[in-house]
Amino acid sequence: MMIVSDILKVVKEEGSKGEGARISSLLRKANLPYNRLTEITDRMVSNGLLEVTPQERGSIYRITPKGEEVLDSLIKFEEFAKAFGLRL
Amino acid sequence: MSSPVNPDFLILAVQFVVAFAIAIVSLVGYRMFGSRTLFRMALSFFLIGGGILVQDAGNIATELAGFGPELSILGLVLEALGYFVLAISHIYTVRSEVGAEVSSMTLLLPFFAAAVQPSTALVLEGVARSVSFFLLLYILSENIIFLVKNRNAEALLPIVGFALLLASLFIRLFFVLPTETSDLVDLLKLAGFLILSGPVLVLLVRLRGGPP
Repeated sequence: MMIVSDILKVVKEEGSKGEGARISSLLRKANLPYNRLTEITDRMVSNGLLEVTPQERGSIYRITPKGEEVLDSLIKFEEFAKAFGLRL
Repeated sequence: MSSPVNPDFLILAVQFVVAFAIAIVSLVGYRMFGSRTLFRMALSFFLIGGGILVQDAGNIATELAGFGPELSILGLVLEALGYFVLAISHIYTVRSEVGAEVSSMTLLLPFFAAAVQPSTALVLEGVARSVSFFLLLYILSENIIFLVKNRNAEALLPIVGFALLLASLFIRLFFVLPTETSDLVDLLKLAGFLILSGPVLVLLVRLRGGPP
């Protein structure tokens, strides 16, 4: 759960700075092996949370409106669990 | 014979509503995101709420028909199981998955200790409360450590809530109380549950588009 939340946060943050998030910056910040990360991002793309634009130097990920909505609710539930001293 | 709507029953009913509200919100979160933490929170508060409901039913049965201590004890055991599941969630939060499975076994110790006690109703009641006390103490400690480490002001509400539950259990366990004082202890527990509802209210306000 934390992984999806972390990926959405990084993609949103990178997206607000410029064109979107490259897989290299996701690898750096999510701290996951390449195969595991692409497996998760592929699933997030097929669920409509992220959109991907293939480019010469690797794909660029952007958060979709549905992804923003999910991230927003996720953050609220994270805060709820944290209030009880727990992590999602 | 007193009416079933006397203050004792109302106090238990409010506790039940608060516990179920926390459980339902956690369940909604679990269904949205599949988070195991939220599943454990839902299970925990359903058990606590169910335990309170069964205790309430036991009290009513005792008042009306002269039987029901068994129901009250079952309620106390369910409540203790609820605290056990919540304590396990804390272990999973602070440890790795493998470490958590081993560590959570240690939380079963009070239940094993309870199983070897002679089983008179009064002893069983005391044992169920003692187990709850031990688990609540652990939950409160983990909450305080989490607050100190993460400087999360919202964790203050559950800390106060759990501290009040612990205080009411402590008084019930170690003091023989006259009826008036016993009512005050029930009010202490009620205040604890009402404070525990704080994070649910905050979440509902946020989900409705209130301040982040």
